Amino acid sequence: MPVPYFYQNNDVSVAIHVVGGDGSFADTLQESLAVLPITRLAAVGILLDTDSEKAPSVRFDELRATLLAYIPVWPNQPGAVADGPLRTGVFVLPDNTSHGTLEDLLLESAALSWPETLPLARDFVANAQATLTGADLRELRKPAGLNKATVACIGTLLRPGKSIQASIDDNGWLAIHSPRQQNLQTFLNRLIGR
Amino acid sequence: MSNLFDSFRIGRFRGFRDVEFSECGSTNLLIGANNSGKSTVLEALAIYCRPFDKREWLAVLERREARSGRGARIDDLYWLFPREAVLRADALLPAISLAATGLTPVESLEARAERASRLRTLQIEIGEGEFEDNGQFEETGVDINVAATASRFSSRPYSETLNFWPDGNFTNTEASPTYREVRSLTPFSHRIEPLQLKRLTQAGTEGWKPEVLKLLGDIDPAILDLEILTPDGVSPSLHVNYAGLGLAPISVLGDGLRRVVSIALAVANLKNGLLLIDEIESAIHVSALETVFNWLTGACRRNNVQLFATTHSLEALDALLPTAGGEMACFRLNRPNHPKRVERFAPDLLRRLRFNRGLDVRQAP
Repeated sequence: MPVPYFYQNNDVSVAIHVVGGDGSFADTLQESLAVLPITRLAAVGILLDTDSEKAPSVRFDELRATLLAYIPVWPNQPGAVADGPLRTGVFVLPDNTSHGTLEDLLLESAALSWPETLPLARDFVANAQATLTGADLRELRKPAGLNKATVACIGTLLRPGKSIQASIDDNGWLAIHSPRQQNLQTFLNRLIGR
Repeated sequence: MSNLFDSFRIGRFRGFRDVEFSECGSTNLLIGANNSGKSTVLEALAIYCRPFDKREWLAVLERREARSGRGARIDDLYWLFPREAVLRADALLPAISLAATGLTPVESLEARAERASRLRTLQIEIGEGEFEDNGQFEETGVDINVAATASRFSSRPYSETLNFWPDGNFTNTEASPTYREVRSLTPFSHRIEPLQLKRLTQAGTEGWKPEVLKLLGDIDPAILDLEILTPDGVSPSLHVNYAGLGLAPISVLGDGLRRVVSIALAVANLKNGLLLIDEIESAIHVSALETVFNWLTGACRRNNVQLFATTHSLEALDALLPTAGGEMACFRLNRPNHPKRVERFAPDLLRRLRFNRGLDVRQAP
């Protein structure tokens, strides 16, 4: 059963659902609102990648149209937060205008935090790619495949045997903000009311 | 295809005010916490189906009072009305107000309760079989003025005053064209043997016993026949002819099979009507719920019967979902102070909530 990740401090509780596919955003929102009154929520935010062929603005517009069926107020632009009793917003990674994923932002961090490790990881992934064939290359050939593999290489060096999430948490991937990371941070801060 | 009730609106009835059950399905499940009003909805539906039938008004009271072990009193009729009706003793009390769309002929129903009184002669026994008048006393009763709009049958509303007196003797109104057949099962109906005897007698005299047996055979082929026997020469009792066992009192069967017998007796000759089951999971083991519900919804489908049932059980909800499919609507009744007194869950959403997310939907957070 898909269960959200919960994060909590003295000021705010955040539940994070991981969903797959655009259709699942609306379904997950509808399901959550069926068991959780909207009046108990302070904010609903959505983060999505754009590693498909659709332009980020198109993806945002399509998603917004489906979300309006469940929550009547969403901002007109990705990256913005609609204020009100319930704050809402959609951030299209990596920067609301370019194609990409969260890994684009993480690699910017890696370039700043581990400038000597990043080229090694990139070389390793590139060399390894040449040794793989057939089905073994399927995931790597996806639009964000090389970036994800590179981030995972650095993550596993920093936290051997742990998931990349553990490394992001422990190793300060987001401690030094690039301008694009700053935009994401601003979005999240506004969403949680800071 | 339209159902008997496509929508049902309770303007005022008991503690309900202005609630709507929209997009009803052929199978409708009412969920909610204790005291949220699930059984009340069934009561309102039962009265709506037979608004001028005094027996139905009283049966509604009796079904509720059987839980507490005391019989229904006519004063309890006031509790069917909005709360003010119970608190005020003056003449005209707030009305029951109901409305519906669908195949039901009644479009709207209003009922008002009034206190009634009459003078009766008190008789005392002066000898064996001899009585003497001993003055008069004032007896208090209840008049219920019912008006039903059914424009398919008449441009003018049907209206009638139903008189209820404490002695329980009354003349019932002739069948009205506004009536639709309705059967109600409480969580303990299957244990009330006189009820089963009455239904089986009807099945025998009216010729629909074979349908009862066919229904029972579908769920347990070992049930060969039902008979009313009087082993002690005094008290008739329901017996089942069970393969390998022969004729045995129905009490020999487990509670689940007795429940199935009571459902079969209720639904077998119910055509184009309404079946109301309070606590549908009652007496049925969780492992048999899906089988029984499949059987029940199949029987309802064949007889074009619309089902409204209540449950407290997640297992019952989970078992009914696949058997009723897309024809099901689920309504959650929330507490009166909740912003939405009634919430409707479409089958697709309910399936995702239960089977994909494992969420408990029975009570609003």
